[in-house]
Amino acid sequence: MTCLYLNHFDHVSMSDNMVVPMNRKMKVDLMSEMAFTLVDKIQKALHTELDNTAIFVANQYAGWTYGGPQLDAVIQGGMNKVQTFQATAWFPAAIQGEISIEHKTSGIAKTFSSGSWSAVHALEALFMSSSDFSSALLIGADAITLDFQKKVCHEKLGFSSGIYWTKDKSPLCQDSCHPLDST
Amino acid sequence: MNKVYILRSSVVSPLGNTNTDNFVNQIDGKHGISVMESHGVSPWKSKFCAKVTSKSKSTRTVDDIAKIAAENLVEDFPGVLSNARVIMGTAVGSAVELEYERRRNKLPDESFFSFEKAGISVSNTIKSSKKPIAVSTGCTAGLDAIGLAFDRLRLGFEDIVVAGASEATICEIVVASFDRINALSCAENCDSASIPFCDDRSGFVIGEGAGLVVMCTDKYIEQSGLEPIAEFLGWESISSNFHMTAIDQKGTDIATSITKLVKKCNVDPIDIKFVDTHGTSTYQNDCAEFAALIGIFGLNPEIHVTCQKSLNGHALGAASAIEIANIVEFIRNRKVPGYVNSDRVSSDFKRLPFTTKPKAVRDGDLFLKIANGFSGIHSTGLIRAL
Repeated sequence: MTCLYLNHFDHVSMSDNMVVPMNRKMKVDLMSEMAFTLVDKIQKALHTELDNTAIFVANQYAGWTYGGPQLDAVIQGGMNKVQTFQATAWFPAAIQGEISIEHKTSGIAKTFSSGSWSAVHALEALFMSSSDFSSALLIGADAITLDFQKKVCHEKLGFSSGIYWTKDKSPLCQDSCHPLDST
Repeated sequence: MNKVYILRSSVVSPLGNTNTDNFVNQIDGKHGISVMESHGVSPWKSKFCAKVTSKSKSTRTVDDIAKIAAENLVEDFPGVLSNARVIMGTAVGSAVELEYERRRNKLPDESFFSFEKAGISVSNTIKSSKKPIAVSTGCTAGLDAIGLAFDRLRLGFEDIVVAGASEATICEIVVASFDRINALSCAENCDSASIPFCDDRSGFVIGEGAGLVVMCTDKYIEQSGLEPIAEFLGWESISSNFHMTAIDQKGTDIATSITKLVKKCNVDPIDIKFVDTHGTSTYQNDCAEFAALIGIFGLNPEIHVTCQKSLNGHALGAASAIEIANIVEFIRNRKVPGYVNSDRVSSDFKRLPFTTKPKAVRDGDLFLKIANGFSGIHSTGLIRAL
């Protein structure tokens, strides 16, 4: 079992200004925009590089702010009306890909979509992982869904939270916050 | 640390809804690729798909397909699986049902937005009361689910797990997503639609299906007296941080995943006898995978290379689970099919020893499975024949 030290917790809501890399604007869903903003906040707070960081994401739904209009477009106008970024913007693992590319992280990255248990399963997988990494990000994406067909299926909640852990104890670590003992 | 074994697998694919159908058709080199019917306002640019067939329904859903695979396991192990944790992968979840409901102008059921339906379907079928785990890492989801099962078993958090993935993909929004980025095959002939590593390949054929494996610990084997087919030695997964869809054609990231895996499992690459490629039939994947394999294995003529997507198409998140479930069946039957298009392999890739001939499996033979996916995910797994 991996022993990790909690370094930082942060969150982003719809009231935050979104920090999206210029080359990713219009190509990603709101869930990824919020993850970009979240990780930017964490990085600024810690002044750390994320190169050997594992990314575990709890993301219950897909990106429907991007995918909803694409579904309508394909039904009404045919497949040529679908944007070319649908395949990469919509699926739940988009967040881990966008963050790993933007921050040049090469460690293991996995996304869990087990309903309300997603975060539990992501956290368990992080602590059970046999992969080699020096730090880890646990990102919770409260998925942004859509008013499908002009009726509200899910409200736009727009909340993302993140926890940054390290394998080594640092001055920023909080002693009492590593949740599972090393065995 | 526990050792992790594989007791049995179950495959539902365009080649058939039973392990036997899948094994026989693979050995015979028959493909499951057929003409794709369009339900939308525009014709498909890609003409072919690899669809699961059924007498009772024309369209299968992700949970239907998973259920068929789980029912096959229950037949093999009546009463054994009720204590098992289910870990299931999927890339597109219930996209088929969502699109169907949207076309009917109906407000979709909330469950259609979930990625859990396949796992719940398998859990219900095997009568497990444990909360299923849903993994949604795109096209590596199947191998990732099996790898995550390995982690839980290795540390003793579970005794027995049913792991794998299920996918239903044949709907306009899913096909359009890949068609718009020119990832799908443009072949005019279904026999040439999915031909990894061949000169005239033009992309992948979208497929569907499910693959499940029953995994357990060495302690469970001792207590139950059940006989394992294979040992799962370990897995590795890295992020390339290269591009959301593209792969570095030098193969560096695939090679890194393999190198880390063999080191972790304490295996010399020269001892690996079988390599089951990701083999999508896209130019980028073929170049990257070839470079990685040549870099690691050199010109070892003893390696037997397989490309299951040439017959099954690409079932996205379920692909690697179907392929691992088939590997388990190859081991059980002591025979691995060759690559049916070996004689058409591009001269660029001839240094890999492709052959049409099946190869016999011996005790202790090692199988390497490779899976690549969008978001720059490169996962690998290592299986030992018993």
